[in-house]
Amino acid sequence: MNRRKFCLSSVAAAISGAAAGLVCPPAAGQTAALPPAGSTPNVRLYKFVYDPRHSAGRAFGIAAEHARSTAGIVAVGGDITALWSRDLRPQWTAGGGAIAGMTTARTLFCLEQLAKDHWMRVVIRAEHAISEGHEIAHRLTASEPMIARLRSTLAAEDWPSKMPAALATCQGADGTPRVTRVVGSTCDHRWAMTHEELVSFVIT
Amino acid sequence: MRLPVGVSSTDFASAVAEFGQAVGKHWVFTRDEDVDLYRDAFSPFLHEAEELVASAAVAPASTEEVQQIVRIANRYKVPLYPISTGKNLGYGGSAPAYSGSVVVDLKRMNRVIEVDEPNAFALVEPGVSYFDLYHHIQERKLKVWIDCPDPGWGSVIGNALDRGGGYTTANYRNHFDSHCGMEVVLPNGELLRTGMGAIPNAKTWQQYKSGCGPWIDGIFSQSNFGIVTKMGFWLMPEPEAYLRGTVSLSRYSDLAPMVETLNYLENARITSGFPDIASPLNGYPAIGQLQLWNETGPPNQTQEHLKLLSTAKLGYSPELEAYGMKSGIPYWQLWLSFHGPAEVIEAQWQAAQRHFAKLEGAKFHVIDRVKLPIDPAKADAYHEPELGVPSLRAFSIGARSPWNPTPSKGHMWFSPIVPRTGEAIIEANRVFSEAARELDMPLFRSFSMPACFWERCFIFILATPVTEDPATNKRYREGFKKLIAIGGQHGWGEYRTAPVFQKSVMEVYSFNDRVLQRFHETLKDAIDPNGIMSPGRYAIWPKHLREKHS
Repeated sequence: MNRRKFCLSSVAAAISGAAAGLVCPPAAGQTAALPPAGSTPNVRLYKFVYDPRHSAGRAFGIAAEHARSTAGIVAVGGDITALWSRDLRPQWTAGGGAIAGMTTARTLFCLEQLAKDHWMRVVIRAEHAISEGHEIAHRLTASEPMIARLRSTLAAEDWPSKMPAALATCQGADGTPRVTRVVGSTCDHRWAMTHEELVSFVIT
Repeated sequence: MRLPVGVSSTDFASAVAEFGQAVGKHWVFTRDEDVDLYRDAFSPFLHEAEELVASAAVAPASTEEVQQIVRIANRYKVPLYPISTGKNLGYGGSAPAYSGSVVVDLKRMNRVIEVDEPNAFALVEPGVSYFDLYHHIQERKLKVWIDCPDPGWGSVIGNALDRGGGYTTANYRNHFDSHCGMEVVLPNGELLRTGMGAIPNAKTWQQYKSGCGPWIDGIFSQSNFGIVTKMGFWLMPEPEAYLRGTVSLSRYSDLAPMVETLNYLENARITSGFPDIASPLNGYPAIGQLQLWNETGPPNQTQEHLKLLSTAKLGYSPELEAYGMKSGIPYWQLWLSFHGPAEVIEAQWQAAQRHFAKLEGAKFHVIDRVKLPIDPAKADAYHEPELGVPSLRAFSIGARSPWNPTPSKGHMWFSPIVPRTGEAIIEANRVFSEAARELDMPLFRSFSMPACFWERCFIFILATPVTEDPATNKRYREGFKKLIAIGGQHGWGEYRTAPVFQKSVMEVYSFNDRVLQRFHETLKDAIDPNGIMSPGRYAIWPKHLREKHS
């Protein structure tokens, strides 16, 4: 259990309402190059978590399953008791295990509170909300380099499928300040989020 | 670095450095991004300057380290705010009662020191959660149950010290009452053990509660007289079977005799499981049914039903009652549960039915007959906490759904204790629904039912939402305080509340010119002359801050 292994606080930015700027997505058909990862190694993910009740969550889960990753994959609906009780609690008690996922905000809230008990925290948070018209506003809280990588991911039509790979590039503590930015993207009918707002995240 | 009010930056830096020497500097947190983790996620001051926040945090791993922290805090007059795991959401979370306090985070003290199966007790540290204790017991195949709140993620000690409640049988549901023996670091750093624990080499610390002489355990709950570092709890021997059944009644006037009958059966220990009162006709579910209702909405609500509900007064109209009878929807439904040998609980259920059968038209239905132990993986088929299994399912209850289209960012629990009578249920509905309407607070659907965590009383729990809008939150905070005062005018007081409302709540406890408050302050001055321990918790301020905050 290493108290200092995290990046920077999520709660600080999320609750204090850190300045949110609008970052325009690349024009249609234009793919932004991923900024090179720094020298800090990527976080080793223990598990991908997704919510199968939502089409975007299902796409995330399928993509995670096909990703060349050693991380396990678990589906959770509204209740995370089994995930916590039989998997994350023993894993985190034994010394941690970063997780990435796409779930409802409420599920993430629960995971985040539990993570705090093990000196872990949310280091990437991407809130996906339908904005006016046919757009999705992605409110990202992460380091600037990570936001740049996510921006490119979210510009893709099938962004939920690309999120597992993008989140897997999360790096460990490098002292980079975290900021909040809002990125817009066109809302593909496949990802219609009519129920609850989804959030992508990394907890480490 | 944030500073506690009245502490110089030099003194604070010295205190922080000494905290680091005591616990290891990696366990002292002063950067904003670390300290912000102790903010109350459900703070009613979201986005406002008045939010209660810590200046720093320190996480000791042992009682000795806690003692050192307390002595250092005394040296530099630094206010401390101990938390167990900080899961007291809706009642303040991990944020201090006095902004600028240093949070003493006890979750590294997470040892289950002992579980004694033959005598059915446990001794734990503050960082032990209900999940931790449950798994400790399961892994060792011990035949004892915990009693846990819902959700069960919090600290066993923390919940008891905040006087939380659970869902198994009556003698375990009151978590403070089911404790037996404490170890406390006093505000001067001395170590105290209560009850039989005051005997060196005590043999019955967790078996006899009061020891000899004044029994002081109560002053360490909802207070600021010390830091509890160990606490014993009585556990429930694993029952052989579980039975849950419902009593359904069709007339509005059945409410009072239903409660009276329940009281007799519970006080006589004929039924002892968590009684759960619903009003299906009013669209109010039993607590154990909340998730299902959230997902699917209340069953059988036709347009006619909804229209009748909208015109009913205090959950009643002759037309609504007639509709319920015609449609077979009970006005009241009491969920009773029983734990014990199968033949015993069958007999108890039979006896309960015999008593309720005196009410005309009472209908009975068995929901669950379960041979115990169950496979823990199948516990989610039931309301888990009633089977001593901790759960997190409560978090799915507040999710957005057709029944709950606008979930809030959090909530503040308004929790007055009211008498255990049918009349009190109706009176509390009348008083608080009128107040909520006047204050424009979204507290009621149509009619609310109280919770039966403890014998002899109801808790009339209402969730006041926390929103993203400071102006709305301000209005709700003011409304909340008015509700507290209105409750007090009717002789009802809160059993627990968040720091922001503790002054208002304690003002209700004002018998004989606030003698209780003055007694608390007398104790505070004697026990904690420097006022370093949780200043302001439950409105108990040390002398140097009293005038400013009174």
